[in-house]
Amino acid sequence: MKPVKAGNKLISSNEMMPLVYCATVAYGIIVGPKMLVEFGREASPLLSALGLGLAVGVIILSVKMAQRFPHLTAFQWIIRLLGPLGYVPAVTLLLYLLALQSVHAYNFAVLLQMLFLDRTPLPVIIVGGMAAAFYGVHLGIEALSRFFRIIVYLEYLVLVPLLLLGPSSFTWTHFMPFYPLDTRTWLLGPLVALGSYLGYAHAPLGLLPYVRDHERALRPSLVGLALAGLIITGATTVTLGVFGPETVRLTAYPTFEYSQVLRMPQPLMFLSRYSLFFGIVWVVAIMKLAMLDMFISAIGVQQIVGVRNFKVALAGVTLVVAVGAMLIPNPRVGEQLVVNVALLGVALSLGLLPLLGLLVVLLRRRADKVAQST
Amino acid sequence: MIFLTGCWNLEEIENRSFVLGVGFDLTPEGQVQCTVQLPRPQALNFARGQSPVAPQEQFSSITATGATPWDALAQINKITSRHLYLGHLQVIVVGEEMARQGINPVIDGLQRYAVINRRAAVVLARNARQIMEAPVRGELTPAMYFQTFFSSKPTPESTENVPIWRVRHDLLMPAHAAHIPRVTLADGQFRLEGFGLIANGRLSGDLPGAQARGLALARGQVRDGSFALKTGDRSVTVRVQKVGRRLTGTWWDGGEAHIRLSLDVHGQIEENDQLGLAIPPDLYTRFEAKLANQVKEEAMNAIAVAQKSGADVFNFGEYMRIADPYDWNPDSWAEKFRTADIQVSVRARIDRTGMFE
Repeated sequence: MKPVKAGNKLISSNEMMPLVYCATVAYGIIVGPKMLVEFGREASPLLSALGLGLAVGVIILSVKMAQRFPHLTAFQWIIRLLGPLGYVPAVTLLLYLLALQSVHAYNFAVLLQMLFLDRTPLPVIIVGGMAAAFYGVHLGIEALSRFFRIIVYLEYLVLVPLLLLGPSSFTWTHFMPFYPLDTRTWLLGPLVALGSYLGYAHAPLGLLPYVRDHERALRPSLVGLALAGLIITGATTVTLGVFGPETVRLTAYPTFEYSQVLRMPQPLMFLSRYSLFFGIVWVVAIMKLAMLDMFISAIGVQQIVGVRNFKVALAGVTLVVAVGAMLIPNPRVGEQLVVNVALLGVALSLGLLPLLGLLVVLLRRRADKVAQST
Repeated sequence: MIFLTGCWNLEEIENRSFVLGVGFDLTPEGQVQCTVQLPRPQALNFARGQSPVAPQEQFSSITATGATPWDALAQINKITSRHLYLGHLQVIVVGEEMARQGINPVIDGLQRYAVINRRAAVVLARNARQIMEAPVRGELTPAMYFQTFFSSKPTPESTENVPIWRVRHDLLMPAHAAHIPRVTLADGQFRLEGFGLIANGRLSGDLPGAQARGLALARGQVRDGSFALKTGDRSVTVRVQKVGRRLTGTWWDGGEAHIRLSLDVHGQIEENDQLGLAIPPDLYTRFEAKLANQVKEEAMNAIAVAQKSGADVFNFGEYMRIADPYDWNPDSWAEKFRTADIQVSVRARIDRTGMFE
């Protein structure tokens, strides 16, 4: 089965950087600080840095495995390698992606409703957002990649003040002691942190067949992850430094709250409502993440279920995600699902992915045959 | 469909009332009385040649009562012809009785609403409604007075801009207390001086004007304070420009907290009683000693008032937590703070003399 073209053109390996960066930051910057501070309190910046180390290991494994089968997506090579048994991990991966998107879509809609559209019904926001994402994805991977490249610089512009202007309002006692006080936090803290970095993890597995010079994909992916890690660790640090662990723990969206209290210096006073800039850029970032996930999910549906037409597969994914999002009954359940899905992602990254890697090594000859097939 | 998603939230600007200030009082019946301050753009739109409108006509205030702060605000929404918009809130005035009963519902209700300006200043007044309704000279509305006061100049040492997000932070931090600046109305003019101390969400102590500076000194936050010093037949006024604060010792001993606070004061001669007469070095040393003593006395007084109220507004609890994080119990800190052994040492230096020798 050839990689799906559907009007897609191939992208270069350098474009993996904005893809990985955007996918990681979009999710991590809102969810990461709250999850980390709730678990690690004063030690959360350290845990975030440790989690980044784990995330680097996961992306290296992910890219290396994808490079082993450069012309096939993960859905294809898992099934070919393991035969009918391969449908289990392939479908698990697809269901995880669909669940992830539904939870993200719901929480994104709740945040949008709370911040900007308090009278708009939630289903309208969800359907409107999904329709916009559908339009973006159906244009193809190259168009997506261009959109990511344009927006990533705007994101830098907005996120840099977020990090640089925080320290003047720090209460330094919020960081002390900077290390976890018990063994449980030392062991589980980095895993919790890993959960906030996993926006990208599946990207290489689904995208590498569309990358022209895929053998060079690792370095830009690592650069994208490192930049995202800097931003997420930075956001965790500034929210903790300004608000302290109790306020971050009890605030629904501490990064956004922080953007509201930030006071711009005189030269930047034209950004008097900085929170609006931040909110808008974050909404765009979440849409990018949604589009990336939808693209990979649509590919997965095509390749597992056997749907020929990409747009039909994409429409099916959009419908499933929208319905899944609308089935979530209330924001409390939505928040719990975010944590559950993040932990599932950690389990898949640290469980399923290494297991698949081991199988690839053990079934070397079969893997070589699969890699050579197209 | 995509472009229609925002239409539910469409609201014409003419249909909005911009709330610049909100005040909460407690009625004798135990109800919450809310007063909002709304500017009147039409009253400011005068043609050339006509005199501007009187200050009391540049804004309007509306009052309603309810069971809770947010309920009272909702009652006002029923009265006004336009929808109240709180995104431009500049000041939140809390009445004394309301603060004694508990400030948490006010802070909680306002912070839950995403639109509200997190940098709106919180002030304490004997009667919030009186502050909301008082026309003030030099500003369009009373709410703008507070915004301008805190942003246009270095804040005087006996008051401080405490935004609502900071109050919430202080109330949520275990073993921590909030302090809110006081405002009084005299001769048609506002006066921001002194602090109310809020422990466990309730007004528990007061630092009036003279003692309020001590709080700023002990927190190391004085940027522009004047001290009149006299020794022998000479007197000078020193402007303190910087106070460096360090906790040089924090330890537990038999369940009692011990805290050693060191303040490093830097000042400049602002005026000398004898024009042109130089100040000899030994006199400088005496003035510096005087300054150190005065700073120490004021800081100790403020700490004593806070200890009596059980309101740790100096963040000492956090340092005690760091000193022993494994056995730290935030619930007992308020009591331990009352009996803590706190000592202050001050070193003062007069670094500059202005344009004279």
